[in-house]
Amino acid sequence: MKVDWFTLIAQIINFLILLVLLKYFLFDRIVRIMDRRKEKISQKLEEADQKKAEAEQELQEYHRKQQELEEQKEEILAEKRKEGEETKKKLLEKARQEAEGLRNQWIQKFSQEKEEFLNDLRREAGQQIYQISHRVLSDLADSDLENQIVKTFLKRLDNLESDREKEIKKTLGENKHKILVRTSFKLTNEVKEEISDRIQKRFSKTHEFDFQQSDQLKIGIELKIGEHKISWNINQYLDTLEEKFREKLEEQEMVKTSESAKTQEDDKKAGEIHGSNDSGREKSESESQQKNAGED
Amino acid sequence: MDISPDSIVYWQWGPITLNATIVFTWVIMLILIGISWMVTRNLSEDASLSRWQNFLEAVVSTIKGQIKDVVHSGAEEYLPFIGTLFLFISLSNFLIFVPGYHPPTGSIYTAGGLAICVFFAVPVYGIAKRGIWGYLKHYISPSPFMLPFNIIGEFSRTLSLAIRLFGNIMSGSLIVAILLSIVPLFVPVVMEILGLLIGQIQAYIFAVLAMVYIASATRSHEKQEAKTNNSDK
Repeated sequence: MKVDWFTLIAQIINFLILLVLLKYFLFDRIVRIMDRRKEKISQKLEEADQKKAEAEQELQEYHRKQQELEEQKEEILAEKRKEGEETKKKLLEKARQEAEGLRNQWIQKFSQEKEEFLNDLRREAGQQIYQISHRVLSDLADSDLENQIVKTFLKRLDNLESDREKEIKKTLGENKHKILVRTSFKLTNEVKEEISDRIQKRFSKTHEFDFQQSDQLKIGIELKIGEHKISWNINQYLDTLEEKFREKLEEQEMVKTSESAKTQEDDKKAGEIHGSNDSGREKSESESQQKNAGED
Repeated sequence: MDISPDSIVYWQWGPITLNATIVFTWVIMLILIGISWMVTRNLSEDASLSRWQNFLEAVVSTIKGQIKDVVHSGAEEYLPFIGTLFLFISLSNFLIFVPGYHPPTGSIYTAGGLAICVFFAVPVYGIAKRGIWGYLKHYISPSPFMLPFNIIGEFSRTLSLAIRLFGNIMSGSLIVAILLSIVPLFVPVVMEILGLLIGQIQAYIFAVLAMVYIASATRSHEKQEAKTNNSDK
């Protein structure tokens, strides 16, 4: 069998040509395009991963910010609440101070008025008592009352403490003082003599006597030797009466202040108490005046 | 009766004969290159592909996958050679259902030419991979006594490659031709279908064997490299 070398070589060359052309036209291109697509896809996946990571990061950021905002809100709320409480406390304190101030003012005013009232009362009572006593005493036998006053005075003179007696004696010994005897009423000569006898007896010396009548004493008798004074006076009783009055009023005041301390809540109430007190006081004053007038 | 397409001569001028083998080889070459050129003119990188591009990509990636099964790595180096072998043989065997067509693979010269190409490709790839001494060393492995057998094996496998393809395709055509004269109806069609199947199997076998031969020349080098790498470590 003859070998057809031409066909063999031609087929080899054909194959080589086909190899080169297919490599160029098919395999290289297809492989390149597939690789490129693969790369592109992986790139896209990578991008997607990156974007996902970014999104997650952003989400975390957002969550963090939200939390921060929440915390800030809480802080602000707490602060405001605290401020509000402080303001409330301040206002309450202010109100309490104002109420306290008003109360003090009222107490001051009240005590002042009480003082005035007491003065008025003392004067009034003194006058009344004097008038009443005077009327009573004058209605009773004149001489008897006067004698009684003198008797009381003399008894007092007898009961004089020894220290004072010595001092008076000393004064009398040093200077020749006139012994001044003031009375609210007219003394009879007999009485005058009795008084002078008793004094001379007491201090065992003769002295000049000066008898005077004075309205200042109201009802009473007074012995004045130099700076020493021995007296019996209705004023003393009036003073005691005044003292009693004062005590009574103070007791009442104590009760009232304790009550107001219990009910001290705001200025309004304090104002109300003040007002009602004012009106009460006015009422009592007018009542006492009416009483006085009735007695007159 | 024509046993081989070589005997069908269309034009002759001295030693130059234009027989059916060469003509149909050109036809197949034109078809392959034409389709490739047409399709790869405008390829798409995106997800949307043309049908032809998709088809070619599928073909190429399948061939690549098959090569990878044999060599495991560096499939792209062998892809044009093995791919061209397979596509050429496959198309040439596939077109046998066309009336008047003579498969060029049915010619001993075509099969021989392809086998000679493989015969030369083996040392080319081997030397490129391992160097000339590395390649030559593989003839005296596992021992120098094997040298004559290795050399004989080199030639005999090339021969067997050529004869296998030629014999299968030629016999297929021959059987159909004989059957046509004996039972002209139906039976030749079955044989034709069988011939199509055998043709594709032969294309696959030829390509895979070529790959195995090339791999055997390059792989021992890879093994050695792996060994030295391991000892280095």
